[in-house]
Formats: sequence, structure tokens, C-alpha cells
Amino acid sequence: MTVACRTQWHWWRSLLVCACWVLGSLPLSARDSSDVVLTALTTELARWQTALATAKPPAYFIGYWVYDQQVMVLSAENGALETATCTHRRLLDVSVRVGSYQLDNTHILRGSSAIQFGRGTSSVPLPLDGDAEALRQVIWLATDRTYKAALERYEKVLTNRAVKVREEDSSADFSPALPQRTYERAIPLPCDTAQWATRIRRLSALLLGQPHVLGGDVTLRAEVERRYFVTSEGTALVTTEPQWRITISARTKADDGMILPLYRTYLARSPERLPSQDSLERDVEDLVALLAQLRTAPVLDSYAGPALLSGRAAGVFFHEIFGHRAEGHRIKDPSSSQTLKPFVGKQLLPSFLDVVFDPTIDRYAGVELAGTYRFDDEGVPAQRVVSVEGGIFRNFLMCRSPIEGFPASNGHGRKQAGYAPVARQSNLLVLAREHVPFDSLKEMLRAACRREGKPYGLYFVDIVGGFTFTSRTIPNAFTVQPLVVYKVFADGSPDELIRGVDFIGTPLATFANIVAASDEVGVFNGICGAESGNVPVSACAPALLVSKIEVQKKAKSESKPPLLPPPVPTTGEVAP
Amino acid sequence: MIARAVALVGIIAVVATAQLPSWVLDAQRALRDEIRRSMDSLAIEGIKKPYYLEYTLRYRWSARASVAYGAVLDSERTQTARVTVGIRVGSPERDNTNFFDAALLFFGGGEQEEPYRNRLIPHELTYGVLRRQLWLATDAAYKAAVEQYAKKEAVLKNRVQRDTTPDFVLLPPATVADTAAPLPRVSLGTVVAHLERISAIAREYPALQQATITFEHLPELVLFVNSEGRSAVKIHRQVGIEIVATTQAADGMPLAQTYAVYARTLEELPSWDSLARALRGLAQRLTNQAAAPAIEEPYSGPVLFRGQAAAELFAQVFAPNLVAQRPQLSEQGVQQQERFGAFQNKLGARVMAEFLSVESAPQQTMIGNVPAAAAYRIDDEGIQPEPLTLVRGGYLEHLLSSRVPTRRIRYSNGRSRGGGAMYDVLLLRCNDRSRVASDAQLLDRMMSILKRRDLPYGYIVTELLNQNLLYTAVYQQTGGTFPSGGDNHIPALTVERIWRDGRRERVRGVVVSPGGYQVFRDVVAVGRSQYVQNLLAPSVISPYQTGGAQYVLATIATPDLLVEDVELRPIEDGFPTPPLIPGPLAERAGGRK
Repeated sequence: MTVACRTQWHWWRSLLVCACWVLGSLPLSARDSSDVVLTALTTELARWQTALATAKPPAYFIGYWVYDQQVMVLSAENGALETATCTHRRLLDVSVRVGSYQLDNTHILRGSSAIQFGRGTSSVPLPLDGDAEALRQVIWLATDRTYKAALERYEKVLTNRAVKVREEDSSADFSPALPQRTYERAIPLPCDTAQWATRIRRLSALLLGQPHVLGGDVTLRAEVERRYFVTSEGTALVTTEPQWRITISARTKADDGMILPLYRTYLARSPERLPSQDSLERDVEDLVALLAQLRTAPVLDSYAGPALLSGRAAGVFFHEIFGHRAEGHRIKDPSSSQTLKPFVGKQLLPSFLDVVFDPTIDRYAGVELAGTYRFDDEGVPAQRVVSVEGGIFRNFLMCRSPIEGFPASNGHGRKQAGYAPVARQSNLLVLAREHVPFDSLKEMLRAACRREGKPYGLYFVDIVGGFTFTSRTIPNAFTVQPLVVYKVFADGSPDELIRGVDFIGTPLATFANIVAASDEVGVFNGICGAESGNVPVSACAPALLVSKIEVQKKAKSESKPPLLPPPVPTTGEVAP
Repeated sequence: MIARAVALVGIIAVVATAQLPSWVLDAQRALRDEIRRSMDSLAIEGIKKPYYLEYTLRYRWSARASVAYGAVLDSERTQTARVTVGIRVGSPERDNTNFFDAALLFFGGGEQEEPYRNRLIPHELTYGVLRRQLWLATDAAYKAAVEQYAKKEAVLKNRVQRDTTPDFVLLPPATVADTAAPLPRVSLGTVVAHLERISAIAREYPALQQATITFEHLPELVLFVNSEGRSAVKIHRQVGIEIVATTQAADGMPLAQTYAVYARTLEELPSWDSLARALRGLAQRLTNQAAAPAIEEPYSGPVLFRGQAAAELFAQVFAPNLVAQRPQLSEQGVQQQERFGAFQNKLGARVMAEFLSVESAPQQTMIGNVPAAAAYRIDDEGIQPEPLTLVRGGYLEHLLSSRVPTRRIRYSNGRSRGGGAMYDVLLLRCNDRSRVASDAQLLDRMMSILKRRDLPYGYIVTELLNQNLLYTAVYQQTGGTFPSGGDNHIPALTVERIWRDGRRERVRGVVVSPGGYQVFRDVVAVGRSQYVQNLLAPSVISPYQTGGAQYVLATIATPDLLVEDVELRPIEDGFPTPPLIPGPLAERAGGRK
């Protein structure tokens, strides 16, 4: 089974401004001489380049990633701290390619050879201080092991190619890239838990004493990740990415056992850009009120008919059903359904829609974006990619693994520490050439219901995430998991909150059913998990009217709500 | 034996206390109040109410660091509070426990339900916060328990159950405390500075590929309260330092040397200078080992296990069998415990050489001048353990038990640790002076066996690989390539071959195949002194079953052991080729030459 993505949109709901990336950037030569990590990486790279150039078979590419992560986490529940930690770690990933750009050890293995137990990629911890020698000792051993693993796999690739039929896509395994060099300054992360503890405690205390709120917590995660990427092609990139995130979660349980969670997430690249305490407190109060409504909202059993997706919901919908299928590396995979392959140059979406992936912009519709970067994780500069133009499918998202007709990367090779890069989404923008005000779109929904003789249509306001299947062996379907859904009545009666449904479907049929877009745009920031780990992404879209969608009942707990009422709290001394 | 256990229960009293801070008293009050409320009111119409409820609150201040080559790999301080709910529905004769239900037992509640085992709760505990957390966890635990009870009842309706051992035995109320010692604190910065200095010594040994030192300090305040009126409060202290160095021989064989020390407090650990000496010794042994020949042929004959190797052999092969285990009923029938279940029906039978005895002494804090890290005064169920002779003159007398009754042992002897019954401070003693020998006499005895069996040489094993270190460090450092020999085999790290003419040579690539506890029947002589090893031993009762710890502190004291017949095997697995180029340390050392 291939589960291409499970997006957790609730993590980052909105973003604020940051300009640290560009401001911190300096030419490599200006700053790198005293950087012990860079020194260790380049020294070992030089030694191994020499050694593996004459090895049998030789390595034609060596790449090192180092993720230097300073993380502060504070979480509180019921007004009391649950976690308060500051950690610092450095992780090394190594890539060694044996063979040639045309055919190397990363080539897809077909059939049972593709199953390789115990051969997953994993990061190696690197020393945090000390001199280059301590670092080099670890880098040396990791390179040796990676080369041997590459060698072993390359032998399998050669045999696999010999015994299997000719491949549908005979593109090269790796595309060359121009060397890139940059050096951004380091940003310290002070471990100041005391300052934040009071704010986090106060927010979580607002969830206490609400009889319908079973639990919930408030978490602050501050992280500065300094990334090094050094390759035998001459690339040397040192970038620094700060990230501050507050997540509020709360859950209730309906009488039928259904657990109903809600989330609010805020992200910024510096602490002062996070929302004010007052603003956060108001959001917690709104969330508590919405939970109370959700707990008693009626359950919708099933539905097939017209629906309205809010901008944020439409963004997730496009990320799941379009974005993952536009990730180029899947076209090479013989087990993938390759849904979009026959659509290159053909009509895929209604002609009033464009779809663009743009990691070069850091803000859209007034909201800062999560999927922004200067270089992708293969050292390729970020590029704006027009994937759909006037409804016609034009481009796949490309990493440095070429596919037929798309020989080069367009700066979308991305990964998390411990994984190998593949083509991934960045900032997805759904652009409507024709659009109407949101109220008109809602009226169009009512009209569609009346035409079809349906008493109501559905309006998806908030979504937690979703997943999609791209394998050939199982139905090529998607599921989007809404949190907040309303019935919009054809006769104009007030909207009614409902619960208990997932939005399901198949991609091509659903694309064809998009009939109109609004002029208001919603932005969703989230973390997308797929083959190359978790990467931050954004999805921006107008609200969309879809002529026919299908929902199914959500899986739910069968356990009753708590049998006893909450205990009556009394005060006491706090543990240290 | 049963009468003795009952009597013990009757005399439980306070052990040692100090003034507890008021938040601890508030926490105890919260535990008691929520137990009372739940026992009075928790019910589902038409379904049995709980007849027993217990809470364990673990409040931990931990500090951890690892270093290599004079540099920090990671360091962290954490403060956590976790609560575990134990609940029983039905009656002591037959309740929801001792039933294997994968759906409930593995996960402590379904994916969407509230966790009730090791539930992470705010560490800034107040009475109100704790009550609220207990309320949700108890609710989930009760619902899981009644379902489990129903499943068990359904299974038993269609079975003729010959074993009528009750599921539980209720005890009278008691209050115990062991809080006299202060909660130990460490300065992580100071520890790290020492470890960085010591770990830099490894740079002087270029043959090593990796050498890491890990430090862990895990003090806990544990509060236990149950519906019988039993309550316990204790401070559990644990600190450890592990050194693991690895390399490859010229033929590629992965090699390792380890040094691990555990104690209750930092002061009980060896001095920093002593640790530095340990690292030097370990690094030199590994360097020598890399140059030693690998054994080629399997061997069956006398083996002298010295020091750590004797203790580790006892810990891995014999000690786990001393724990009482109860077969679990499941929907497929009764699941007999295969792993370390050999002694369950052997009370009264001979299980080792007749001149050997085994004592369990969990309250013994020192053995000679070595601290016993596993010593404790109150177990995880609030029971005080008493010393027990488990094996007397080779014959099995007792098993170590928790409050889970088994066919032969109905009562706890206070050995519940880490989620289930577990061995603790075990002393292997010799009762026959004629079997006690000096080092030279042991070698003489070995030579006579070699001569009698016409064997050209025998082996002396001085270090066996500890299981915890194998799985948590050695595998990681060797990229999963370390040849462990598979189940029921123990990699030997330091081995000497001794020829009949007295010549000795260090060898490598040896795996001990002891073949089960019976190897202790073949002990023919023991050394004069006792070696005391503190170790992290794998829990005998699976943590998947109990929701408890994977490894638990144990202390083993053994003399050197001369075993008449043991099988040693060469490592037959393939292994990776040596590195293509020398490491930076080796390169620098080469350049210096």
C-alpha cells in the first residue's frame, strides 16, 4: 500500500512575517573559515572523493547534510507544565551514488527485489562541540558504510535490470546541477523556558473548568535549524531557519462516543511575531465555544451532492488530490498509478484554474507561507513552477531524479533529516481566472441544491488533514478529514453545524466537478509527511464550488463519555 | 512458605521516612480521594463494579548525556510525571487479569481513548490537576477492564479450566515509606565536563572506530495507593555510566568492548579517575582484540568464566528462570510461558550443582565494598521484600513473585519491579569448601579435565556482552552488523585460549552457547572471591504484557565459575569489509609515526 501523504494541517494555521533568511545571507568565503562543521565536512569530502574515485565501482557523487537543531519545547495541560525541555542535536545524512548519472544505486528496483529489510536511511548523531577531528571520525565511518550500502544496492540494480522487462521510463537516475554556495549566519536560541511558561500555563488553564472539554494542551515549540549541504559537485550551502510555533488543542466527546478535536496553530520565524496573549486567549475561548456546539451537533450519515470548500479546505483538497500526483518521481515508479502522466499538455482542470508551486514567495494574501526556501534539499535554487495553466497540465514538480520529458530539477527535491530527497510540494497556489464574491458562491451552492432537489449542500470550513493513495494495487482514492462542516440549506435557512463525516473521492472525477471559485483566498500552512519525511508546506486557494462530492461516516470511538463527572478541584501546593 | 508470606503481610510497617514536602502529601491525598470516589461510584448499569483499584505515580527528574572523543553528542534534563492505573473487575477468584487480549493489553486503551498506563501528566502537580488526570485514566481503565472481563468469561464458558489458581489475593491495609535518603541531584554540566575529558582519551587509540560514553541519572519519587488501604511512598535512585567502544579487525569482523557501572547515587559510582582508567583499559583490550586471531573451530569442553563473565552468564542464563510466571489465558487457550519458564514446575528439583546456593537479598545495599544498585526496601506494589534462599544445595526452594498468584506461589514476596516480578540482588554462593579454589587451583582443575578429555586447550572467558548494551549501543555503533550469534547465544568479548602446556593467547570471534540453565549443573569449582555486577537486565515478564519497563536494575554476585562442559562457537555470520580508508584519528597517528 502506498499512502503518499498524511498532512497535519492543524499544526500551522497562520504565519507571520520573517525576513531572517535573506538578511542573514553572506557569501560562503566571508564566514566559513571558522565553522568547524563545514571544515569537517569539506575535509572528509575531499578524502572520500579521492578514495572513491578509484574504488571499484567508483562513486560519482557524494553529498553530506548536517541538521543542527536547537529546540525548546514547553507544553502545559490544565494550567500546569507537562514538558519543559531544551535540546540541541546535530544529525548527519550521507548520500553516495555509485555508477553514473544515467544508472546508479538509487534506481528503482522492480518486483520482490524492491523489498529491502533493515536498509532504511537514518541519521547519525554528530558531536555538538569539540574540534573537527571528533566530527570527522563520525563522518568518515558513516561515509564508508553508505558507500558499501550503495555498492550492494548497485549490484542489485544491475541484476534487476537484466532480469526484468524494459522500463517504461528510461530517464537517468540523477540530473547534474550547478554548484551553489551560500553561508547564512547562525541564530542562537536562548533556552528561556521561564518567560514562556507563564503564557503557556495561562492559555491551557482556560481549557480547565469547561465541563465539556475533556482534555487539551498548549505547546510552544521553538526551533532553530542550521542546515549544511556539501557535495562533491562543489555545492556548499549553510542556511539557518528559525521557527516558533504555538499549538492549542482541545477535545470533547459526544454522547455517541465520537471524539471531537479542534486545533489552532500559529507559526512565525521570530517570537515577537507570534500573536499577542490576548489574541491567543480569545482564540482559546472561541475554540471552547465551538467544541460545545460540536459535541451536540447532529451526525450526518452520508451525502452525495454539491458542496462548498472554504479556501483553506480547498487548499488541502488540492494538496492531496492534485499536488501529490504532480510530484514527478512517482511517474518513474512502476507501482504508482501515474494519474497525471497522460495529461501533459491536456485539459485536466476547468479552464478558469491555474495551479502554481512557488517556494520563492514568503507571503500570500497577507499571510506568511511555510513552504518557502531559497535552495531545495538537493542544492537546487527554488523555482516557481506553473503546473496547470488555464486548466491544462504543464509541469511536474521535479527533484534531481529526471522523468521522461522532464530532464532537470525545478527546485522541489525536499527531505527531512534521515530520509532521501524526492519531489515534494512547496507553496501551492490555486489561482482562479474567473471568480465571484463568496456570498455569490454560497448562493450558487443553494441554487445547485434546488436544481437537484436536495434540501441542503455541505460547506467544509476547517480541515485537519487528509491522505491519498497513489498505488496501482488499491483504488486510487483520497480522504480529506474535516473538523468543521455546515449544512447550507437550499431554502436559505440558517446554516447548521454537523459532525462525523470524511470527504472522499477519486481525483479525476472530482477535478471535473469544480464549477466556480470565490475571490477570497484562504491560506493553510502545514506539515506534509511522505516518502522523504515531514516537510513544511502551504496551500492557498479560493473557496471552490464542487458540483458533486461524496462523504462517508468517520471512524469513531465506541466508548461512552466518562461515567463520572469531573472531580471538584481544590487547591494545593504545586510540585517543583 | 505460604504461611510465612501471610505473616509478613501482617507486620508491614513504616520503613524509613523523612519530612515530605506538602505537595507530595497533596498528591497522596488526590490519589486516595479519587480511589475512594471511583470505588464508590464508578459503575456501568448491569456490569460489575471494580473490586480493586491502584494508582502508581512516578515523578522523575532525569539527566542524560552522551559524549565521544571529547565532544558532547547530546545532553538533556527532563522532568516528567506519569500515572498508571491498575483496576480489577470480577472477584479475586476470577477477574479481568491474567488474560491476554492483544486489543487492550498492548496499547493500554484504544487509539482514540484516554491512556491509563504510563500516562504523561503535568509535572507541576496540584491536587486538582492530579484528580482530573486520574478521573480520565480511571474511566478508560475501567471500561477496558470490563470488556476484558467479559471476553475472559466468554472464553471460560466453553472451557473446562483445570487450574483454579485465583487471579488475586487481597491484603490488609498498610502504609510503608522509604524516603529517608534525599532525592539525589546532579550538576549535569559538571558531569559532562568530566566525561568530555575522559572520552578524549579514546583519541589516543586510533584502532578504535567509535567510542562513546553515556550517562543517565534517573531518580524517581514513587507514590503507590490502592483500594485496600495500602500506600507506599519511596525514592528510587538510579544512575549509570556506560562506555562502548567498537572497531573492526583486519578481516572486517566487528568487535566491541564495554564497561558499564550503575549505582543509586553519583557518589557510589567509581571516581572520574577510575573511569578514565577503565576507558584506557577497554581501549587497549579492543586494540589487542583487533590483532588477535579468530577462533576457527567449535569447542566443547571446560571453560573458566571469570569476574564479569561469570556474573553475566548467571544473569542471562539462570537468574530469569527464578521469577514466578503465570500462563496467560487467551481466546486461543492458555499460553504457556516458554521464555525462562523452566523452573515453574521445578520447586524441589535440582537445578544446579549441589554445592551451590542462590540467595535473593534485595535489602542488602552493599556486597563487600561494592554498592548493590538493585537494592530496594519496598517493591512496586508496596510490599517489603525479605531475603530468600532460592536455591539451597542445588535444589530450587523459592521463586520470586509479585501479587500475581501462580499455581505454586499464591503470595507476593515483594519482587514486583518494572511492571512484574523480577530478580533483584542475587548472590551465588558455594556451600562446599572443597569446591572453592584459588586462581591457580582453578586452572589446575581445568588442566586435569582437558587431559582427561584429551583436549589440547581450554578457554578462559572474562567478559560477556550484556544484552542491554548489545541492543541499545553496540548494534547502533556497528550499523547493526555486530555478530551476536542469535537467540540463546552470548557473544564473548574477552577470551583467552589456554593450552595444556600453560601457553595463553587472546582470541576473538567467540560465541558462548550455554544451552540453558543446565550449564550450572556442570559447574565443578568456583573461585574464592565474589564479583559484583550491577546491570540493566531485560524484564523477565514482557513489558508488552505489563506495560512496564524494558530493562530493570539487577545486582549479581558470583565467584569465578569453572564449568566442565560448555560449547563455544566461532562467529559464522559474514561481516562487512574493513573501511576503505583509515579514519582521521588513524591517519593522524600514521602521520605521527
